[in-house]
Amino acid sequence: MGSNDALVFSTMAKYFSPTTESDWVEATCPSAWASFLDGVRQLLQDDAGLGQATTPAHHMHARKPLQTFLANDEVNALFTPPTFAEKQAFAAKHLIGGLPVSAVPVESLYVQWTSKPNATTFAQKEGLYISDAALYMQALLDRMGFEVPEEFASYPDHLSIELELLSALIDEGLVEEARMFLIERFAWLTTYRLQLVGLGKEALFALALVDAILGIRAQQADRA
Amino acid sequence: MTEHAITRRSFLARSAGTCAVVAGSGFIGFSAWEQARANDAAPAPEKTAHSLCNSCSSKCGFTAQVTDGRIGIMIGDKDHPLCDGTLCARGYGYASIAYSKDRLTNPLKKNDAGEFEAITWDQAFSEIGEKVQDILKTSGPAALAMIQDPRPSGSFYTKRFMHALGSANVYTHGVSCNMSKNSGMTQALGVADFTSDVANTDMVMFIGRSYADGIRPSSLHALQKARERGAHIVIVDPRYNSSCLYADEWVPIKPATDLALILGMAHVLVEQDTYDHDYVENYTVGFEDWAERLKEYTPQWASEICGVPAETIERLANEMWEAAPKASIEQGWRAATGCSHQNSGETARALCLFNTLLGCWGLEGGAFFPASMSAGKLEDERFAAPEAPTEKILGQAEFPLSSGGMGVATYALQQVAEGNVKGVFFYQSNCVGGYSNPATLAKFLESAELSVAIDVQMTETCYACQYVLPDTSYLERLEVPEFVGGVIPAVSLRDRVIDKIHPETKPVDEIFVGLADACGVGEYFQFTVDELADAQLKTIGLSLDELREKGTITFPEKQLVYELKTKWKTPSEKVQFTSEACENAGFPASPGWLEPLVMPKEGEFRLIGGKQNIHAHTQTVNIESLMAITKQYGLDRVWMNAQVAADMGIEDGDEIEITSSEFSGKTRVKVTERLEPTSIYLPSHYGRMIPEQQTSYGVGLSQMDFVPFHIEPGYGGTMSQEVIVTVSKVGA
Amino acid sequence: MTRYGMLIDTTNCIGCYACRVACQRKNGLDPEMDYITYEERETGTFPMVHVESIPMQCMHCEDAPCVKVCPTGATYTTDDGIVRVDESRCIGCKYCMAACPYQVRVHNPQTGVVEKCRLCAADAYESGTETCSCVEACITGCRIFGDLDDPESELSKAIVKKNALPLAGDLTKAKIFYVR
Repeated sequence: MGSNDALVFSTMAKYFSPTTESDWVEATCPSAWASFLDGVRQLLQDDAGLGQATTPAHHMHARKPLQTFLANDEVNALFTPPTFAEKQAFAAKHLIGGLPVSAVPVESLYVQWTSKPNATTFAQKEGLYISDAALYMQALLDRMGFEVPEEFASYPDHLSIELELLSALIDEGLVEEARMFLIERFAWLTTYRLQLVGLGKEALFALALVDAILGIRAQQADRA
Repeated sequence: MTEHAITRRSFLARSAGTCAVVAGSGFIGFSAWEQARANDAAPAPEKTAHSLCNSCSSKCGFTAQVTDGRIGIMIGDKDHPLCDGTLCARGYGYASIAYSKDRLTNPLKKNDAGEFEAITWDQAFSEIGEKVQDILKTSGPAALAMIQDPRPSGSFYTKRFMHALGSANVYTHGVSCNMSKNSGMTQALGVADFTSDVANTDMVMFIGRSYADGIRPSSLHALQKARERGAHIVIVDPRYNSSCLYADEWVPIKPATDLALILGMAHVLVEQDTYDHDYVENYTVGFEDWAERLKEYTPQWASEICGVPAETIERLANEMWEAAPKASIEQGWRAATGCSHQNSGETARALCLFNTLLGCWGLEGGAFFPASMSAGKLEDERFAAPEAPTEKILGQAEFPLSSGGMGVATYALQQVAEGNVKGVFFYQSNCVGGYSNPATLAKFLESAELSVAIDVQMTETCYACQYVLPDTSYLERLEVPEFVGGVIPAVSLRDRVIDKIHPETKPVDEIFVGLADACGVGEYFQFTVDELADAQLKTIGLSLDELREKGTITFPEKQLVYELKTKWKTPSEKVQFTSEACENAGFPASPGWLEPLVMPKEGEFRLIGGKQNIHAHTQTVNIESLMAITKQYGLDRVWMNAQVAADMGIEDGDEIEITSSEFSGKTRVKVTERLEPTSIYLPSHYGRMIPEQQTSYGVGLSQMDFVPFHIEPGYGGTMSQEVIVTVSKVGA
Repeated sequence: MTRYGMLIDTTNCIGCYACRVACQRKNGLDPEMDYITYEERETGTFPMVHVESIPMQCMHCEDAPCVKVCPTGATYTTDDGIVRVDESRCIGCKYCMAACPYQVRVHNPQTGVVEKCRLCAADAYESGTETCSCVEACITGCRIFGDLDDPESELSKAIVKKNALPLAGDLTKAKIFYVR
């Protein structure tokens, strides 16, 4: 266990980004999905570092079910992943900008533009694209040798990219870095989840994923 | 434990040539990164770029610094003829549109439930193309219409696209702006615009126009110079507008009666025989007809209609004559002459004729016609224009005096409901929200077989369309060079300041290339905007690189020379006191009194609009830094005359309900001495109905909601102030 | 000595808010935060009416009440007469807001610091821009920044020529002078 962790986050990333139909079908086929759910459940309660095996002692304890960490309707949503058509429909209405039902998963929109005093034009403003979070993500991706795909060029702080990078950190065995990144980078999801809550039932699956990330983040934050 | 059933397929690709990272290398935490940045000295801007503001139609040139890929300091360009070195609040504030969370990011299509959903560009282009071709086949090119608010690239591409399809129906926002003024002036002078030489004048009268509210910095600077020179500056306006700071006289007038004032003043000069005889005899036609008609328009008569005392009318006329030829009535804009009343076109015509009596045309301190510059003919075959359609623009026959270059856009929309127009495109135009009654216009659009809006954010117009195509913001694109007239003409450039933010947006030029391809007329668009811009500039001995470097280039050799203007582009080549075209359109040969469509009776008011200097129509209200000013200072309140309010038991800050035949709404009132008693002033910017525009939604009332759908006979204006309202105190 | 100050000519102020927005941009302020506020004074009765727009910001008083009441010394006066805030020492107690007779101190809810105009030209000189953002932005040129102690400065000359005075007389020995 633990070796599944990277996969969990990259599977989540797939929901918030454009994928091919076959990629999504593959990610959500029964065996893969069972593995994903198991990974989520473990991450929500493991005391191990990200990507690390849990201690034998922990093994001994009874495993708590997902219901312990997530609301019932969220768990139900997680157990029945959307079809590709449903995923596409959600993205076409909600993961784009400019509509009242928009819930664009880009960190910049939920944080202050920059904390650098007197740095620039809209410094203290919240809710503008290309904030410091975006500049940071771009710098980090550059340093680590990753290229941002064309469709995310101006959103290096898109939820999918942040999840993919987290996944990559875990894959590289950078346990402490992954933990720090998870704790630092995903705080905005507490604001973002409200946006999803506002969308009602349609957004339950997305909300479940976001709440799972927040739960895992809390778990890792406790693991001093 | 389950084995991995899938392999991880990340869309994060390793850069070419980068090996897998060694443990820990490369990673930096956010705090450490932030700290490192804070320790750096203020980062030097990595580049500066020139652009043209997009917050209003003036398109002031400015230089922008870019740091970390983001826009920073903006400085108005000194050489730009309209900007003259300073920007206004709108200019500074509007730049944040680039990063706004309310930006449209993807092409949208309305589904059967009436909700927008993202679609791909391929789907958008192919569906729109198919529908256009269908309409062309079944109804011909006249069943297509394009409505746009002119911007450098937009003007070029929309016209070329429509002409390529064979349609003459390219409309601007003119009907709700300066249509009647341009059309009325054309009847008198053969040109659509003149500029009062305010900086050098001895007396200038503004009717309903305020340089300090609809700010164009260079005009405001001219007004300042006039005051410094001790010029007599008169502001005729029902509202004590911001320009009154510079005026030595405010003449509060009953709105829609400016024509009576002008006729009364003309009567004075003609009756007294104090006018420029030499000019009238040699360079005009039809004076006798007008002189005869003016006989009945005594100052006393005018006073009864417009509420300005007869002595004042007489004095103003005489002061104008004393100052002549260094005197003029400024041409006005949206309010009196532009589009507001049933008599706006005739008011514009009379205004030109009054100035003619002063003999001021072309002279220093009088009124001149700006020097201009334009690109030459492009030799490269790729740029050859499609054949111009032979049919006239739809609406020209019905509104024969209307300027064909602007077109009666609201009539075109009405023809959608009549089934004569089947496909409508909008570019950077909030026609539905701002041209006339929004509910009526949206209703017209419902009958369209195809409706497409191109914009950066969801507007009332986008909302009423089937397809919405996301434009890049003005800061992210290069446009066709903009030639600007003035005392010294210039050419200026809107260049790319920052990189494109949303990958699925496209600059206007690329959108029209895509549409043209899909509609089968791609052969007319075999060039990039960079190539076009460079080719245009080459015809005048410049290059794109040179203009990129400088932003604005002036042509001092083309500087305006003051000389009496004696040749006119009218049928008679003279100033026309009488116009055959006007006669044919049912007006008197020379302008006489024409009643407004409505006049308030006891207990009623005329609802008037007008710009505040932090907003441009509906374009800037969703900008947070500007809307914050509105909210902090209560600028969305309606104005009411203090005495009238006292009589009605209404106090400053009370909530009142305003009701017209079309709409009823509640808002707060500003009780003021700054307003003529028969008017209620509602700032024109507010009352936005689009929840997508999160900042502006629900603030204040929209003037247009109250105004019935009308079109000014003959001239085509939208008659935006022909509306009567009643007012009551809420809870009283 | 250098003693920085400013002149604002309200007979040339159209109340267009360009200085406010430019200031917000320069200082990276939230749209609701303003170092410059306005007072509009309408006098007379219709139709003989007059309107004056008075932009107000930190007056950089020599006798600054906000400096006096600051318990931590966060608000202080520099050698060249600018009243400034040391953000690291500000505890957000808002005494200065209560003490300021011009009501131009602003609480920043994000940092907790009570901020204000810092006559950015004094910084700008160092980084090479010409003058304060409000002076630069003013369309009608109604603001002049400069050294009050230099009788030859454009500012000093204009104060004499236009008979400019602080808004509240000698109350706090303000260094912003108004032409009204």
